[in-house]
Amino acid sequence: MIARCARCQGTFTTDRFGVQTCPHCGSEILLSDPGARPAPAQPPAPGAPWTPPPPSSAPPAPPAQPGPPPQPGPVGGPAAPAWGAPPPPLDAGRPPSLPPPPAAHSPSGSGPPAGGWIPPPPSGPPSFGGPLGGGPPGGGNGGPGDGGQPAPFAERATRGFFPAFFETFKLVATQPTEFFRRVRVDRPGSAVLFGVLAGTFGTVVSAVYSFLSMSAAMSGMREMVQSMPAEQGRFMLAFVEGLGGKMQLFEALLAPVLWFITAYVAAAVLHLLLLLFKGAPRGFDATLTTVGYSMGLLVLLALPVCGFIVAVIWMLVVVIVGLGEAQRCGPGKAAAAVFAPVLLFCACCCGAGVLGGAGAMKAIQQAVEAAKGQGTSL
Amino acid sequence: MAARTFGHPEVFASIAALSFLVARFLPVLSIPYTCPARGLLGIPCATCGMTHAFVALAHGDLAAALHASPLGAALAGAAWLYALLDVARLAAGRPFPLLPVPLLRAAAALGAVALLANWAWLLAHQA
Repeated sequence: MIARCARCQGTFTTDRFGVQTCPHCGSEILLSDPGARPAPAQPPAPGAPWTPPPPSSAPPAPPAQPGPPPQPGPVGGPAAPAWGAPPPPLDAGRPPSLPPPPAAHSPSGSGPPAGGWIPPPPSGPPSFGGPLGGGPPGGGNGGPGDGGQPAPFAERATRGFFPAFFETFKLVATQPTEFFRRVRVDRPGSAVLFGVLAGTFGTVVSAVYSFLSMSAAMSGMREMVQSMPAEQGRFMLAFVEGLGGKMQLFEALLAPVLWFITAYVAAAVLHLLLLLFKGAPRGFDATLTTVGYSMGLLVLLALPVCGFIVAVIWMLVVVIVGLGEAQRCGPGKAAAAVFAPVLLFCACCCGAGVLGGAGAMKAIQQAVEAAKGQGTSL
Repeated sequence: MAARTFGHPEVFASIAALSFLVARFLPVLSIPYTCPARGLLGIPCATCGMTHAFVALAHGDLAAALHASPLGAALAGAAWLYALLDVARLAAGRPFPLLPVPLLRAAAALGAVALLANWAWLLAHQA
């Protein structure tokens, strides 16, 4: 039997169930007995809505209990991936108002269900499949192998491509907190595909708009440049001319590759910053999933005139909210990770300005003293 | 043991290899683009010169790469070395080594310090 460690995702061979040690990372993991697991969840009905979190009338989440690390998901074996009890909370500074992930509903009423798959709440609308509950029982910080609810786009094969895309876009744009709290983070492929498709669509449509309006934009820019300093005017003209024509064709053609690389590089940078702030307990997959689905807002690049500004600002908000929920680190650390480069830039510009100002003052003082030495009155 | 053969490490290795191919064979320096910070404020940004550094190093000109951006030259060398090592690792059938979180955290902090140092160098030499 081949098993996969929920913490490091490494696979290993074993011939028994129960508690054992991962040979790759040394984590103690619990391999559940498939004989004890309940029947798997039913596949989603095509077109079924993404189930929102249970309303406030739903049973409250049980308190987090320290327990063994997440259970591994057997690979190629008969058992479905399962959860274990969550590790102890990693972030004591999390705002108390941030609710934990939805609680697991144990068939027996206490403890996690065997196998970890949780039936949908009876009062809610029909789920489109997969486990409900965005985290381990108790709402702790799960590892990368935590369960959760697949995003609608991850089930595009059964729901249809366009309905799944629009449903996911709607959730990301309007309910990012609930969406990223519950979405599965251990399979980021769909998230990256979602972001790449959205970014490509937005870029291509934006390029068409820009190409059609380039001549008018250039004439308006030339008029505006006349009121600017010569150096800045030359830069602005070169910048706008560089953005047009061949450059836009180049961008449109390479958009899928560029957005794919952007997703990975941005996720890597954000993840490193989250690590720096101790805000990445669920691993790189959670960061990449958040970045990928947040990039879905790049569809808004297709909006004329204001599309870029709207898309960027909305995406920043969603990334901050999403990282806070998906990584269970709270919005503060997520915002710090997102804005750290910007703050760094501003701080350094201010520092350069102060140094430059000090240098200028010193030069003025020297000039004044030299003028006094020559008997010149200033 | 069934190991995942194309995961995140391989994606990053592919991106690194692609960066070498682009820097070596495409005329990226002829793209009419100016850094907004340099164009509007007259000072280089923290990542200014990285494209020049990648291109120079891809053509074997280490001095020009270091002059354009020391961090860019180091980043290019590290990325391409990582790509080679990952190919060798895959060929040997070895799993990707798990890096401990404290080491990654230290690397992130070191990267931030290196970025600041690189910016200071650029301001001192190119502003």
